[in-house]
Amino acid sequence: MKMVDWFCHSSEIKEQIEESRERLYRVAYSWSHDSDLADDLVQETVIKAFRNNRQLRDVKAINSWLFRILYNCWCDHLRSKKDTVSYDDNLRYHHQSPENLTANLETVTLVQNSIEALPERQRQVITLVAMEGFSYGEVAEILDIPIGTVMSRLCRARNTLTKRLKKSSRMIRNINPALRRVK
Amino acid sequence: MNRGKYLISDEHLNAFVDGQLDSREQNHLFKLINEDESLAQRICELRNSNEMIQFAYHNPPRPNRNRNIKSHDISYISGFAAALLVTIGFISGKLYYSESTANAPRLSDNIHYNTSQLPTLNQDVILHLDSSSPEKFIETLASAEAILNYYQDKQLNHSVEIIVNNDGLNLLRVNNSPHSGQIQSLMDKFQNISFIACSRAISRFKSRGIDIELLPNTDIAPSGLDKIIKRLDQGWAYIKV
Repeated sequence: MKMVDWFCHSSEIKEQIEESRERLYRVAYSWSHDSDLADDLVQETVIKAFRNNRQLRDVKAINSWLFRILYNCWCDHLRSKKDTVSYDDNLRYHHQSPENLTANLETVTLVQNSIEALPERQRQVITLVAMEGFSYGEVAEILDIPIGTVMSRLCRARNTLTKRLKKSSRMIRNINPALRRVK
Repeated sequence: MNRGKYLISDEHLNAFVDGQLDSREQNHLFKLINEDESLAQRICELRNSNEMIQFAYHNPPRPNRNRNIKSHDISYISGFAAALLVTIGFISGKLYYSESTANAPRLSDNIHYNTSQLPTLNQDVILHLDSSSPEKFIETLASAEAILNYYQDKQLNHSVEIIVNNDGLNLLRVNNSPHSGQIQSLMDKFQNISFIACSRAISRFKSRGIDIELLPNTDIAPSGLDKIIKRLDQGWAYIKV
């Protein structure tokens, strides 16, 4: 690659990386549900992308490439924390009290709790497809899995999510009945 | 899944909702949807779940930190520097650190550092440590000393910054670092070496009830990673230990 071409190529990559930070953060947050950790993951991703930008030959593939780096950073984090049992990771959804459920009436909290309760691999797929609009082929590339696996994980994730959202809505209605007149 | 008189899998429905089917398959499904109300209902549910996810994460909470660098401050390291990094990284992995204290562990007595292996190094350098591995502590200090010795020999005026975050913070903790004497020696010997702790890492230790006292003359950056990005922007070489 000629020097001028390389420079243009790198400048374009640099701009794309900067523009992608918000999307990377959104996905990192949907995987971790920890704003500080999501921020760390994005910064690690950006550093790695900047350092290795010459590896990317086709700028059109930059999104898959960036999210692939993010995924690797996330896997590294999970590996480093594999001996730690996090309260948030395992109990947050299942042990909600009626009081908490009442407080979590907002759709955002309800959906985030439901996504957080999904198995890790299903959560990765559904957020990349439903939130960021990646094609199944791109997700397969990012997560390094076959397209068939992407489809089956996505299907299970959506089925579980739909059931949980329906169930949560019913519980909320039951514990928060309409106001009644008391004599 | 049997939907009316047709057999359509959930995977197929998902692919339809996500726009992953070709036009022929899409048209076929549109026809089926018109004939089967339950199928139309299911498609609506799937689309609705997509919209709910997008809505739920449209504006995720920001980190509880004060950021000192904005995204537009970021640049990337040059190709030349990238090539240097490979050289430095390769060499730093082979360095031998002459211990000034007896109690600290050694990487290997069989690895020897040779400054002739650094023929093109002419750059400020960041060493990034985020682990409390004893071997990485030694490697970090060995790399810093080797590079600074090289600069001194070549009469080059470049700096080395050692930036620690996460568990790497233990390198700079009083009563916790096995290398406090060596760190002080390095600071006495070289004016162009800095040890920088990440303020976020300190906050995390404190949130776990661990009191943090850093070695004398240690600097603190609001964010170790932001500091690294800033240095990359300024053209420093980066070595992840």
